[in-house]
Amino acid sequence: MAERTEEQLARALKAAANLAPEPAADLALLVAARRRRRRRRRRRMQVLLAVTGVVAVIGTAMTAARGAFHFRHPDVVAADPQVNAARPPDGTADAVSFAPARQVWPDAVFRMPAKARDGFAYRPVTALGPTEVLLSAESPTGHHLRLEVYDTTTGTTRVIAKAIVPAAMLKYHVQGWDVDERHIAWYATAERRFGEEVTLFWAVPREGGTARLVRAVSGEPAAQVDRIALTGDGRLAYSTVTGGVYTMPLDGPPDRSTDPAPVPGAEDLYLQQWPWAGDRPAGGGTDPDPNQGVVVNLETGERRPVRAATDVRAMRCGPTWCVGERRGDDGLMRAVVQRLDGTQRRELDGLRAYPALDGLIDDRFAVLSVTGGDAAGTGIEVASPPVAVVHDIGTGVTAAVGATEEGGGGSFGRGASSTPSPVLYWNVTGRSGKLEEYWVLNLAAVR
Amino acid sequence: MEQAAEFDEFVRVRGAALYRYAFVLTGNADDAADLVQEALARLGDAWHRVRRKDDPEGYVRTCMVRLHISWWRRRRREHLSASVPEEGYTDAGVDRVDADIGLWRELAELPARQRAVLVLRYYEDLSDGEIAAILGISTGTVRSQAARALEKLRIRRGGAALEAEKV
Repeated sequence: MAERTEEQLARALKAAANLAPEPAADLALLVAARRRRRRRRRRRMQVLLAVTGVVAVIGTAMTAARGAFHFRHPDVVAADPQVNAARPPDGTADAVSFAPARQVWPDAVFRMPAKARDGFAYRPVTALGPTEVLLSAESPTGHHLRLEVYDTTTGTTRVIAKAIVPAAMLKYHVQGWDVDERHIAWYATAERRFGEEVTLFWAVPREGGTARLVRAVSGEPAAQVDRIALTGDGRLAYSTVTGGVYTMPLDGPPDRSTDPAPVPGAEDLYLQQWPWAGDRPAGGGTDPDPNQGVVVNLETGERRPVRAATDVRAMRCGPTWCVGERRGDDGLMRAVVQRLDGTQRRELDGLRAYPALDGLIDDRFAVLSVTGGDAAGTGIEVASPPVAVVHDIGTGVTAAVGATEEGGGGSFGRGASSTPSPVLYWNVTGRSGKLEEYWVLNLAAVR
Repeated sequence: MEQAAEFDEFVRVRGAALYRYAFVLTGNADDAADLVQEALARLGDAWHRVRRKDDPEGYVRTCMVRLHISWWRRRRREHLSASVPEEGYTDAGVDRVDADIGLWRELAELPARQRAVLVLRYYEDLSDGEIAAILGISTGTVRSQAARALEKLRIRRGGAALEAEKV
């Protein structure tokens, strides 16, 4: 074949450019749509990080801005008399302290390894009972996923299922879980070629077996999952980030008959804990401040309105109880607990709501943040407050959770289930500073 | 909101040219549309930063070349690991240019970086130094990639390049 010239190449390229088929739609609109989608995805990732990873890092600067509260931690005070000396001379009598969860609920707190023997990283998901915690175990490469159960009576784990991570998927991340009497289900987000987002729903019988792909959903808005829930009768429900609840059967042929079907009357709702849904997205969405306005039973259609006092914000409610926060006449923020109708309202000193954690666990436990800082509101803490507390509305008991770091701040994780997980965990770091074990609080073991 | 209006204006004025550039880079309409949208979306997100440097066009073109290469790598990995069938494409209007169609087809067979080097050199008329800066590689690599690509396409190089090769 004859040799070609550089001129021929240049001409071919320019000819191709001039003959490029016209794009079908308006480019500016397409770009705008893509940017919106990216923003949503970013936001979703932020929410997911806040909800499912090892969560909160609370710095002193932040707590200072949020209304100071004179705070003493019993351990620190006992260990360091300097802290006592540093208290303001008036010695404000309403200093609050919280005992660690392992003292308050010794039967519900245990230590477990943060990794399996083969290096798979454990992440607590939810409680299967008072002595069993479901764990996800992911390989360092993220290509393999195992479901394991940690038994607190024996201190051992057992593998109940293995799952495949599809090789053709990019950015594959397991996002949320749910468990009912018969099944364990989870969903993962991934990207197909050229960024098409896809959500994969998986399930496995609770006694174990091979994970089965229930459904892969792509295209907006159905693929943007907010939370999932198992319904207890062989169906999997999910809500989307723009609102709306869908259900689909766990079994059945992958055709029209098993397509996700919208739940009538739930067009603007977000799943909470099956069968309950509310009108606020997981993690509070982009704006955690607005109060939840209604709690809806998706099985019966019953709607229970929420009556929050006008100055209460970030209120989240289960079928009976609500938790939010309000700024008092003294300028201090306090967590507020009340029934849906506004009765039995209590304010909790030194604590604030955690709207990103979606309110109540089992309509009973509230995870709250601690407002550190000194009485003068300078933001200089007189003692190191715990990262967060769990408040038991039923008994009024409050216990500290989380790993506090030197210099303020710290972290804790909440189990990765979509239904607010009764499992909270935080890091136990070894001498080397490496993560070795978790402290785990299983609220299913609190009587 | 003035910045948003500025960005929209940029998309409206430069969109068609950027799309043509994307088409030359990728070789097909679908990938070109995807590439130009993605690059413009990124430009939009960075608009505040980029417009101060006064070169949004340069930013978005660099972004397109780099995205194209990284997508191609990713796709190839997928292809190798999961045997994803390569989608066919029709090069509609291009069929009309009989003389160049063979060359255009063969261009599509080149690895993305080699193809990008040729597009930057022969479509954008950039120097090897400029190409090196855009791709984040050395000038030497630009030359060797170009030489390899031209050889595959059986394109006779100009006298100077031929001399350099012999040295």
